[in-house]
Amino acid sequence: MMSKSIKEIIFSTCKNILGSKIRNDIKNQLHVLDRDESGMLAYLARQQNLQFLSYLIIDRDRESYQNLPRPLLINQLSEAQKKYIEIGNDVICRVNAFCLSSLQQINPDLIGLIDPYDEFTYKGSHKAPKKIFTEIINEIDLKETFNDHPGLTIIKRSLRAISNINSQQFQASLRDSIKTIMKNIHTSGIKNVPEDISRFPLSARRDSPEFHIANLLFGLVALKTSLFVIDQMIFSAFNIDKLPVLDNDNVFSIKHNGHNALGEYLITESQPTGSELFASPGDIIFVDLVREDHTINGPFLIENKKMSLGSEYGEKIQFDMRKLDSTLNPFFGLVKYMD
Amino acid sequence: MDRQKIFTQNPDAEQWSRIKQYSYIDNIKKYARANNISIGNKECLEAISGSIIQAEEYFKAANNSSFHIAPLLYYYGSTNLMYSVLGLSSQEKPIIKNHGLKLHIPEGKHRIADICVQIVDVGCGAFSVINRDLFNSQTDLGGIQFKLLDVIGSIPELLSDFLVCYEDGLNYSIPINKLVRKKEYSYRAKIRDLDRWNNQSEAIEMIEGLKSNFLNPLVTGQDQYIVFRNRIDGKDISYSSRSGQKSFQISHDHGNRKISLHPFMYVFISLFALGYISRYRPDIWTPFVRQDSSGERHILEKLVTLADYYAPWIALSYIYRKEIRFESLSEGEIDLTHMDLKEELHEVVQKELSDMIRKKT
Repeated sequence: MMSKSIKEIIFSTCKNILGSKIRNDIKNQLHVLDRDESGMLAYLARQQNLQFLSYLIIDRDRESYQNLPRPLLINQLSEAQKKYIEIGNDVICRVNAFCLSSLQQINPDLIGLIDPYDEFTYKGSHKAPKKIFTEIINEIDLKETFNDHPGLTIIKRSLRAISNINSQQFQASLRDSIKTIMKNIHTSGIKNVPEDISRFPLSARRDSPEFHIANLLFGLVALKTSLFVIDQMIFSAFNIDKLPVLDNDNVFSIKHNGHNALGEYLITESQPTGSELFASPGDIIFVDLVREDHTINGPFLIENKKMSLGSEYGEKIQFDMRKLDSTLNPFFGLVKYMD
Repeated sequence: MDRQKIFTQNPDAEQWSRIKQYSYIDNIKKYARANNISIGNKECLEAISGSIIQAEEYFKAANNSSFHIAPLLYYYGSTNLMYSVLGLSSQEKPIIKNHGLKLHIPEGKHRIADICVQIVDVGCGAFSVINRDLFNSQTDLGGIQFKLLDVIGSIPELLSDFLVCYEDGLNYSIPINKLVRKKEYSYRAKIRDLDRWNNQSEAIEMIEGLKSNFLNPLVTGQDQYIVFRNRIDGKDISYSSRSGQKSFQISHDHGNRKISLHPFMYVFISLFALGYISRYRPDIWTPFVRQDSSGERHILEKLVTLADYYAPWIALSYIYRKEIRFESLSEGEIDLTHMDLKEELHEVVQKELSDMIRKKT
């Protein structure tokens, strides 16, 4: 029997979350926060794209927002809000740990480079009930499937050729390089590939140290991004009933649909019809477009969003998106690139 | 349908000049060969040629006649012209046995617009043959009865006069502007153009083909406009007049049948009705032409004037299999391609700035 993909397992996990009782409690608390117009907590948390953790960190550091040149009012989370948000956060932290468990044997020092929450320290007092991890999240499936992530394959290969991997200096330089790659990808715009990536295969020999380091970096970026998407999908399952959808009933223009060394991208223009109006960069959106000669179907990661509201020529939203592959990785091109 | 621009100082003369080429037998044969159709027999070729010649004569005569008989002459001319066009494109004589329309005149004092026209003989009636073969339109129209008021209200070119003349009339045509961008287009209508409808949403839902080809309409511009965006791969269902003004046609609700005809067919029905009354009911027509003080004569005269260029334009478009434009006017379009350019420039600048920042850091 063919094993399930990461995408299938996460979709099934999200389905389980939607049917769970604790989800209603978490969702209700988030919605109360969303509706609270007296403070900025929910708004700022959405901008940070760190799921439940954003709310907790902003709440913890709320006094620092008062000291800004233009102070922002952050209302303190109530006990109930904090409890359920911490439970949601614990679920995501545990999922991250499951996914990264195979790295314990390969090289535990790499876990910190991949875990999206590694840079943030937050100690909560509320943990998710144990039954969540038996009834909702299939730990074994998740561990096994993530172990087959192609990003991990190229990491393993590169580790065989790099000797100083565990030096602190090298780790720090890897962390900086990952940040630079991610920043360059985002600032290049969705259709473009940063020059250092696009020029790479021309400049590096396959047996050179540069090639192995690039392998390692691209593998780390792939795993880190897959994990970010997984976290975002689980957060969405706790927070919204259905992923926003772009389909033939709201999209009126496909401005670009192409691929490059990073992966596949899609730029659409749609008119606001529902929940996609509230989707933001970093959110996952489901695309189901049927054209005369082909279809575009599957989850995409929103990279950019431009809204034109109140126009006398009609309101519209432009979404710049990256296609997610079966490992929920938008940069699958990078991984294939290195094969 | 593709579009062909023909530059001329005199569109009316130009369109007749081009149609008249096919009053020559050899040109009819050339047309058949160019369009890969088997050349018709001698009788058919003569019928095509003769119909074009007669049609032009009827139109010339109508143009030089008073309103007392002009509608009848335009009706005959239009029927002849459409007969010839159908023959030319099929190289077969169309089988037409009668008008295919029947008049019902209400008793007592009434407006011309209160007269009703019924569709009969959907097999061989002129109306049904032209409607079916020229416009690939629906065929289940047998027995359908239109009030002339609704027919006139369906002719886009008469909309403004219609709304002034008939205060109780519903317009079945909505003028629209095409908002053209690089990769897509949309249409925009003014909400006030649907003021006659108590239920404007219902009127919009009755636009034939709207749901399958356009997204849900959006109200914009502080409730002034409705924007209709074409679905991806959706078809254009708008109608264009000869000047390029575009419109959507609202279907007529006949119980379980929603009827929407090409605007020319509404002109055809009107000409039949006016021609019939002028020919067979001078007791109604003559006093109306002499004494009308309601303004109805004004709109009906405009309708007849419209027929003078409309039928030849439709005929030529059908012969060329293209939408013919005689002028360079584009009053129906608002060009938004500059907005695409602005967005592209923004992207280029953004990329350049990003590159600069990246190189510095």
